[in-house]
Amino acid sequence: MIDIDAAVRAMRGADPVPDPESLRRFMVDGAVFLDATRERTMEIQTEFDTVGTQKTPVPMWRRAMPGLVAAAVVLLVGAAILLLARDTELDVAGIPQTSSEPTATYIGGACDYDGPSEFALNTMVTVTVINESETTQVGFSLWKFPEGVTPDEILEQGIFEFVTQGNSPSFILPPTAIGEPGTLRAFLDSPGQWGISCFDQSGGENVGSDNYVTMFTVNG
Amino acid sequence: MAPNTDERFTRIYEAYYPAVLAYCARRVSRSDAEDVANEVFVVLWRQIDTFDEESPLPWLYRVAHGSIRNRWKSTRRRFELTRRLGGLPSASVDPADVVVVRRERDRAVLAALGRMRAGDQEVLRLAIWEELAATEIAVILGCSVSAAEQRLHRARKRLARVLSPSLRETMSSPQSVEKGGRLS
Repeated sequence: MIDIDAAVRAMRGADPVPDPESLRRFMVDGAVFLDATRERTMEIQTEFDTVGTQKTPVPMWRRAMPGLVAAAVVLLVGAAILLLARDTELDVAGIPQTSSEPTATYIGGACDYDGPSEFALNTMVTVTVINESETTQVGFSLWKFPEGVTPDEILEQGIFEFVTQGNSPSFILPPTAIGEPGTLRAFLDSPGQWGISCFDQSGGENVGSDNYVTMFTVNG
Repeated sequence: MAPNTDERFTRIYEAYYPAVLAYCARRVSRSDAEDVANEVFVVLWRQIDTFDEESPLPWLYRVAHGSIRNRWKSTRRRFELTRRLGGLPSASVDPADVVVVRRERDRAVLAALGRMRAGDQEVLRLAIWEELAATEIAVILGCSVSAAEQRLHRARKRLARVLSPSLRETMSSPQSVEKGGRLS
């Protein structure tokens, strides 16, 4: 592999606009540009005003729709949580629990894991997750990964390259509040590589989020 | 607006338009680059009262970044709609294919860069082409400085990895010169 400095030099050499000052020839006079900008701003305002005055009245049932949808979602989520809690209570009986509670902390650009590196098969694991970055667009999940995959490969290729029907996430937390702990819980029912993914959607652009994965092993 | 606002706007335009146009031209086609750069200064005009002249470029780049991202999204939606309606194959927008390619080696570097994740491409362009520090990159990407540093560190490592095969090939072959640049 070439060294990082050589790669940076090669990229600098490939800069499609090595001399931005050469673009001055595409500029118009500042005063002319200002007039055009002022006109464009007024056009935008006029378009906005026109659209604003042409608004048609929204029927009552459509105005109530967002509220009804929100209420339905709240009811469904509540029902799901109750069912999960019931199932968990039933599942937990007789299943070995982890003695110490592992934690995963997203600090912006990395997922810090503090906990055992190995677990026994058929253990119920509970992980406390905390977002300590500066963005709220962060979520956490607990996955079973294919053998041999590394956290760097996941970060490079995106997590969905490694998701199959057999290793879909045990639990996903939606984007979390900064500093507020959440809980991931999973039954480690197959041996191999498992991992906690801290996914950061703040810089995801058009290809999804950055997934910083930290891994542990479930012994067979 | 007061005359001093006009003067201020004109001064900022004259000082920074080339840099903003260069930022755009490194990411989109020439005609789109001019549109986006003009949009950036329309936004500047509307927000000139609150514009911080202490650190102008990160702010201007951030507006351009958002505008380009919106264009990519709408382009992608258009492709998706066309694909659904007419059965065309799905196409992805590769910003690296619209820039000027001067040499074989540059072509290989830009092609390799285009295969990297969009987040990596952007952080590398900001650091290497726009020559920004992590504090400025953090402003543009809307993340913490430590996150920007981490992203840049990882992206540089991945750049070296993806460039290795291309550079080895092009280093062993004579460089060919192409014409047809749009901006140079």
